[in-house]
Amino acid sequence: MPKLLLVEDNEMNRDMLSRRLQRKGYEVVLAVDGPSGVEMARTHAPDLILMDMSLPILDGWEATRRLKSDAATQHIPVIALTAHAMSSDREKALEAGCDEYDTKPIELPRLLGKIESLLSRAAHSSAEKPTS
Amino acid sequence: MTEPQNPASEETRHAMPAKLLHDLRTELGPIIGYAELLMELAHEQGQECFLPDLQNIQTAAKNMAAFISANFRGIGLPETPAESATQQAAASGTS
Repeated sequence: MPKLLLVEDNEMNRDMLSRRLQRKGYEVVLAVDGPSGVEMARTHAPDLILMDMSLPILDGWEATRRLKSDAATQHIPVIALTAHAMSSDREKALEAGCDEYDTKPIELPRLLGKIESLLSRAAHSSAEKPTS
Repeated sequence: MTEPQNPASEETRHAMPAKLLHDLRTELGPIIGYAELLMELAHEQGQECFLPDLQNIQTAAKNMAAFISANFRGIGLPETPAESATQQAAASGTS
């Protein structure tokens, strides 16, 4: 069962999305702000991270930069979730190191497609790594 | 003659509507999501009598999201590629 880390400060969005993902067969661990998201990525080693961008204390862009600069977490795919409207926000998320980007309100089939695609790409690239 | 646009003032002009759009979309997310979750549960538990009303909640919220996006585009706020794809899917009835 793939493990997802959902970093989301909005309580209702967090509850709703985590329950819907669990019903689709994912294990979901939750973080409510940037620092706890970074910490839980290290301690829980999720297969993929869903990162809200507007987070308290440490925003999603900076949290992603920290994850991608840490050897222990840089391989974990990150999907940016944002209700921001500007087309530049997508570029900003990708520049921070996010692997994908999706907008709120969430279209679950579209998000699931992106999750599956990144998980399968990650599994493929880890299988290609030489074992030494 | 058209005056050259100042990028800083363009950003400032978009800042307030962008925040409002962000907040509106954030609040619409749970309405759509919980409606869809309840539709799944109602279907699984044989409570189909609830489906039409839940469908109405979902449709109204999605219409509101589309209405908000269309109006914000009307004031020059650019849409994201993901939003554009959603609008196209909604227009073709495939979402």
